[in-house]
Amino acid sequence: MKILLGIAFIIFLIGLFLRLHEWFSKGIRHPENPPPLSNRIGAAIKGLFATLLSGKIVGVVTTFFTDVLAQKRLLSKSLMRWVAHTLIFVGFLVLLFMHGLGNTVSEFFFSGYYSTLQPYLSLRNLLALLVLAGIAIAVYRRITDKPRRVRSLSSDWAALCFVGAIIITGILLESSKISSPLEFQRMVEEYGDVSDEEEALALETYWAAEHGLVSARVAKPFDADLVEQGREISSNSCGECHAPTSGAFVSYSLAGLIGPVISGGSSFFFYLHLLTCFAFLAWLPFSKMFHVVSVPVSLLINGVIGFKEPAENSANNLNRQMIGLSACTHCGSCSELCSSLMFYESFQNDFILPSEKVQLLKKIATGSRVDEKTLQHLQKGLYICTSCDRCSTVCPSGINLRELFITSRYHLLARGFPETSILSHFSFPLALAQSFVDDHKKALKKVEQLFKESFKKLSDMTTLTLARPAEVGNSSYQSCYSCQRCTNICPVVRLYDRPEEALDMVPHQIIFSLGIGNKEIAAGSRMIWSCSTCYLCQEHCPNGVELTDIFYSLKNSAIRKMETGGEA
Amino acid sequence: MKLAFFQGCNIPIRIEQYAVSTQAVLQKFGVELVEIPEFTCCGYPVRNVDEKAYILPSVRNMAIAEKKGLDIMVICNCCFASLQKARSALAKNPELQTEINALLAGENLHYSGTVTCKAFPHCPARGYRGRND
Repeated sequence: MKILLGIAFIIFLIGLFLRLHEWFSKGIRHPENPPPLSNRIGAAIKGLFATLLSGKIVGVVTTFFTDVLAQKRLLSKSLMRWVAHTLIFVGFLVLLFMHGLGNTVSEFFFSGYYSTLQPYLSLRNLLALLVLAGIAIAVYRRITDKPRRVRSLSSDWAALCFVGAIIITGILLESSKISSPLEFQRMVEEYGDVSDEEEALALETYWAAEHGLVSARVAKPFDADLVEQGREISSNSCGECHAPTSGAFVSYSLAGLIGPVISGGSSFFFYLHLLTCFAFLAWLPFSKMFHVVSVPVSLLINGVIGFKEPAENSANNLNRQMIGLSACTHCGSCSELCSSLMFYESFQNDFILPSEKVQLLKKIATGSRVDEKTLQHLQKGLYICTSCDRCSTVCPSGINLRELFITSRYHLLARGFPETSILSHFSFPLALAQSFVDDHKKALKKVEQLFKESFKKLSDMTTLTLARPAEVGNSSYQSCYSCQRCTNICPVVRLYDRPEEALDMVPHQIIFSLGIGNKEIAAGSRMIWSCSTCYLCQEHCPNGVELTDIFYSLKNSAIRKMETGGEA
Repeated sequence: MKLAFFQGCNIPIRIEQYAVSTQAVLQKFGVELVEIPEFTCCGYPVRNVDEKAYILPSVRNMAIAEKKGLDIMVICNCCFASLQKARSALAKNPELQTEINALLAGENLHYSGTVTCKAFPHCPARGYRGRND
């Protein structure tokens, strides 16, 4: 067993090393000039000392108590989730130190510590119940009350099941120990002060009657005299180390059930419980449970610097990004509040939801291969984002999702796949692109090129055919009577000396081309993307042509054509 | 008077002063602005991409206000236009209203068009308009 524990611990340490190595070596960033490992560790240490030696240390301590221990961010999100997490967190942690590390921790603090004495006996059962209650709430939430649109992954279930398995096997181990006649025999041989067979029988009867022992030798109804005789022997031989086993109220009540099943020994559950614990230890760094390490770090960083200002050192930005990615527990808080969530209903793209983006970005950051189609979906998802920062504000793990998503946008754009969302200047706050000016310009060129290639220009056409008026979901343009007021009032047109060179077509020309059934050149003119959507043309049109609305419709068609080919 | 306060995506995180000043001024006039965390984006960012996808979030936002029995106060010009656009689009197209309501039913929401939207615009685009008019 000690060897197995050693192996589990070594795997744990290796896992821990690998994850920490990821923190300082991986990340989503520019392909050029990645900062070397030494720079990143150096930056982290420098940042750490600068914080600890400044007034910010107060912030670190406060955050530790409010955000890390008391989980204030989770509480403000949902009371139910906070209760579930706190039950598991407190229950498991106290069990770990009091019981799991009982020989070192408990004996150090409490000289009279014995796992079979009160209050430890009852406390252990109580804590186990707390953890199980927490897990029950978490499972209930995952099944009935999980954030809409967020899927539960197998890794989410695995974490809950693993913790539950440790507690349940522990309870079964205790109840099999209580009921096991072999265990009883061993104890009697070692500590029992019984001089003859009759005394031994009395002791066994007493333990069967009052302490949950399930023995074939003694059966109900118990002889009252024997029980009394056994009680006396027990108080001399056993009382010092054994409180009544009924104190272990959960295990005690299960003992009667488990006794007949285990046919004597408790070693099966002993190995099962220990192996589950060891497996959990070894599995921890490779799983979602690694959050017990990464979330406190992420919360402390967030508590000190928040998410609005980028770190002074870009290496630390990357470090924080990796810590953040490993701190995501896929709880779905971000997706629940996401301002873009209704777009998910329209586009059915999982990566519109921040929690789902993060799951894939974890893979990308550590260099796993992701197929091109998924990457294109992710790129779209990253751009159907209103940059409202609600996700960064609400994240119970304090992940800087704003930085992560902006960096990821440009990381993906660098692959060269054109992004149609950036054609309009109003898609998202351009201020967010300020660290990526060149990348943004490059991406803009790319998509403008695609736009150019997707449509024929008027100047390219040798003949212009007349057809029935075009279909743009709005027939108001048919009442145009060519006064050109729209073009004359347009502030965009007024910007240029030769507007037709910069815009391909001016507003009234777009309306004319629809009138002769040529939607293609209308949708392919740069005017529609330069339109400031001020509605002056529409409001000033004497014949009620809804120009701006028609321009939007043309933009919809243009994007459809660019993305899927075919007709505009 | 009590109104649901529609701040949109950018005001709460980038230009909070718009919200703070609006609340301060309107408070003097006895108007209480209620913040509604369930409000999402008005839909504007996908207006270039798809008309229906653009309208849907605004309808949902109005349905939320309808459920709470409040009219909406908007302080972003884009959001105001989007909410009004959605209202007029559905008024013209009852089939679309039925279709969107079927989707909203999953969240126990219903849009019947009773909510009105008032604007208290701060947006620079308005200033621009003023100069040109």
